[in-house]
Amino acid sequence: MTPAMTNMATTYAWPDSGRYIRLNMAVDVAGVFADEGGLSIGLSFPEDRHLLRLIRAGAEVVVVGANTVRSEGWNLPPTGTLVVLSASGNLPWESCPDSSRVRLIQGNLSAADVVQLLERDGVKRILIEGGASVARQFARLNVIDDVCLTVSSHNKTFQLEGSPPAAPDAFAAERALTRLLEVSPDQFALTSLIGASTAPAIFTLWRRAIGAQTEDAH
Amino acid sequence: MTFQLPAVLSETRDDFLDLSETDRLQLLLEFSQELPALPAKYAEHPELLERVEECQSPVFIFVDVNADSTVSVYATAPEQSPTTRGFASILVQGLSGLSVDDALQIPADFPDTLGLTKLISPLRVRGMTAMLWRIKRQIKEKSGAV
Repeated sequence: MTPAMTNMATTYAWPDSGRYIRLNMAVDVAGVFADEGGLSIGLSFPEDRHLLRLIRAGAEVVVVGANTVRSEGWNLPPTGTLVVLSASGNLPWESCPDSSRVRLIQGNLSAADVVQLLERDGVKRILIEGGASVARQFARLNVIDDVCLTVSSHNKTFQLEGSPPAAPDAFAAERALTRLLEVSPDQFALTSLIGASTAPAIFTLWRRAIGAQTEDAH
Repeated sequence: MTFQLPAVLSETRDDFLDLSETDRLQLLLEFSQELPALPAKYAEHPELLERVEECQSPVFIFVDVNADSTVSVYATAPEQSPTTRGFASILVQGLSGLSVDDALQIPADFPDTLGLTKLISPLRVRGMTAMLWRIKRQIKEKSGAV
């Protein structure tokens, strides 16, 4: 257990009541994923996996786009259901470790439709893991209550050149967030920044800023 | 009473099993990059390390039983052997800090439960089983447990 991990459980606790929509993604300093199809969560180092597990443990559903499954493979949450959004319904089921833990939402549904659908089923704690275009749809709707963003300088090119990259700072994280979600910087406020101890990365938590009103999904 | 696999190891196992098979290899590679370096006191005394003869690549382990009856596990494995190094890293991360009793109760077939048997040659998986066996043997010897 590193010092960073000991802080995480309280900082990232899900609230008890009401609908809560959280976005969890990992990006590099430029706010870019592996590709736009989109790497949502990079499995990369122990603290990263620890945080992912912590965040997922509280979620009733984990929402991803079909492209994420196609490009990244399946990554089922330990508890809760993996909700996959797909227009075609075309998913690589043959490689799925356990399809009974997956719910397919098929069709050309908007983010608002998805939120409404999940709400109707009584789902309260919704975790969105991307990819980028899925994240942007929810961000545009302004229904995201908080964003867990891992920002990393981890880059093979840097490593080959010798000196290890420095960890990003809060400004880099803000640039990455606004670039990722295409939102204005005042839509979210930084509420926690924890430095990773084993990688040049930071774990940031952003809450919807006061005044950034929810548009009702109905 | 049934034995509960220690948290870190059971989380590691679930992390593997919840991934598509091809991604399990990626996770193993990531584990291989996380193998901690040997503390200086052991790095300077290679004669203290035990070679895991069952592994084709040169893998060495060393176990400390601490005053509070917890164990510290160290290993070295070449970076050119990511599979073996990944296995070593899983065991080092999963066993370090456990009590002697918990460590000794880890089932010998833990390596077979990671969902890798179809992806990795049985010889390699057996190497990991041997690592675990040797680690447990050292714990037994150094703690006086029978």
